[in-house]
Amino acid sequence: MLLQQIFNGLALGMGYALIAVGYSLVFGILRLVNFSHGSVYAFGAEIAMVFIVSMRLGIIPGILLSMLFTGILGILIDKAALEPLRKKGSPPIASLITTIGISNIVTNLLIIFLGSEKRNFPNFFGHSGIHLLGGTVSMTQIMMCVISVILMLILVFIVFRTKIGLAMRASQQNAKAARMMGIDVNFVIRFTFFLAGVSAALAGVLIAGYYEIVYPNMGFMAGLKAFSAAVLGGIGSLPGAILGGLIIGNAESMAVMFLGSTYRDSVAFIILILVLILRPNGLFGRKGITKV
Amino acid sequence: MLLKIEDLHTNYGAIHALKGVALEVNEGEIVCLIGSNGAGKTTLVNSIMGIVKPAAGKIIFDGRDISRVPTYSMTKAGIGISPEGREVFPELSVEENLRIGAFVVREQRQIKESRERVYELFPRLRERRQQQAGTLSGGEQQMLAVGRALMSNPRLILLDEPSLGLAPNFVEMIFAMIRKINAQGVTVLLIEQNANMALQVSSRAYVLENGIVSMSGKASEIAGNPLVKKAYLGMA
Repeated sequence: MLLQQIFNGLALGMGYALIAVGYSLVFGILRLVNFSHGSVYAFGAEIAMVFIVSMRLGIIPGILLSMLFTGILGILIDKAALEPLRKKGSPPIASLITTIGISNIVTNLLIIFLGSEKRNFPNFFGHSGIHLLGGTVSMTQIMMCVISVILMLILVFIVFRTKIGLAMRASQQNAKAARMMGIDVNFVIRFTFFLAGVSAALAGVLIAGYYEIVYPNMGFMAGLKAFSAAVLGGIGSLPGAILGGLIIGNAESMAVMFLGSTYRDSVAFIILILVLILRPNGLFGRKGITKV
Repeated sequence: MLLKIEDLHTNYGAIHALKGVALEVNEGEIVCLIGSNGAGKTTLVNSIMGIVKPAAGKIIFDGRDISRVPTYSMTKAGIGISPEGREVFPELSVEENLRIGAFVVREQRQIKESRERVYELFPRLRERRQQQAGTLSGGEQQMLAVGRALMSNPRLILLDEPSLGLAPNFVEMIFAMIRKINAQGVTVLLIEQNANMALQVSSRAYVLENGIVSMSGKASEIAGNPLVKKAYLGMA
């Protein structure tokens, strides 16, 4: 039973980790908590539903298209709302509030065009499972973990092994110097939003497939939990986001087991509050990100 | 003429920081710009680099007005900079910092050649190439900042206060490097508070005072000027 909950927690945690990565990537470069990220995640799940169920494009093309479009949504959000604020040199709080506004806009557009009701999302991997150490791991859970790990590895590769990744890290550490070295920092920021959107869309598809349900507001709670995961891991840190997601996912499934499912949504926030009090920089956070 | 600045006015917030600056740098020269704190030296650098937009005037580099060109296009245009305060990327390795300096260079071979050239100029950087830049000493960070600026093979290199806060032996070394870099064909515009050293390595000099060029000419003549001696060289 305990083992079963750990399996559940790992699969769910991988999903949270994929969303948390988006918070961390954007925070790393802009020092901004992008509160529209939850709605971007919901957008990814919703349009995957459109591509796969309404347009019958097939599962894999549907998921890939959803990732592409959600990545583009990320770019649009930055281009339309955040870049103008940066150009004007607005205070950070203006950007923060703007992201909350964008979140509402995206969610409401989803409601207008796709309806507000909860709909069934297809389960791609069937309900078969493997019996392991007294628990049952479903194919869906295994695939959630496998696909998430693949995307994480791709992200880590991009950030630490490619030229654009080097530009991302340089821009995080000193945007002004990065510009002077020939890096178009605004392009790097747009690319970061694209990556965040792509991961959020994949998380949306996986989590919607796991619960077999999709609705426009699904990003609200998942977004906040993933935000807690990012803070727990140390916001701005890619490995931190992954570990934070796994811990939050497991804490949630443990809460279901020991406290009952009424408390499942609260445990992430209890962790968030504890982290903020006890270790504000998170597990992998740097102490006071300084510029030399 | 490689760089020509005409009647440049730049506002810094509410302050009229540059009030009609004119300055020229010819290919192959070392030109220095001296002046006290708040004279407008950094504003001039920021104007050339497109970090602040000039209110009026022209900045012509290699025959083209660059006063409205974004900062990130400067390396491509042929201007390298070692900024004030060095501004190396603290959590990147020395080698990664150099790679960023060559960000606009496409050919891998050219990047390798530039890196070899930098390591020959500053063997210390080769020793520390895997080390995080933030853990280097001030002098080593300055070497890295200059090396990073050379990575894009610039025609003009701006050195903004390269000696600031360095131990005397490092100051000597940096100025010796400036001569060496110039001998390799790179034009240098040196912005310095250390007027004494700056005037020794330069062929021509400009004195910036309250946002205008108060004096300009051969470095040796400027160094011999009684007013400069008193105000900038600490001689009576």
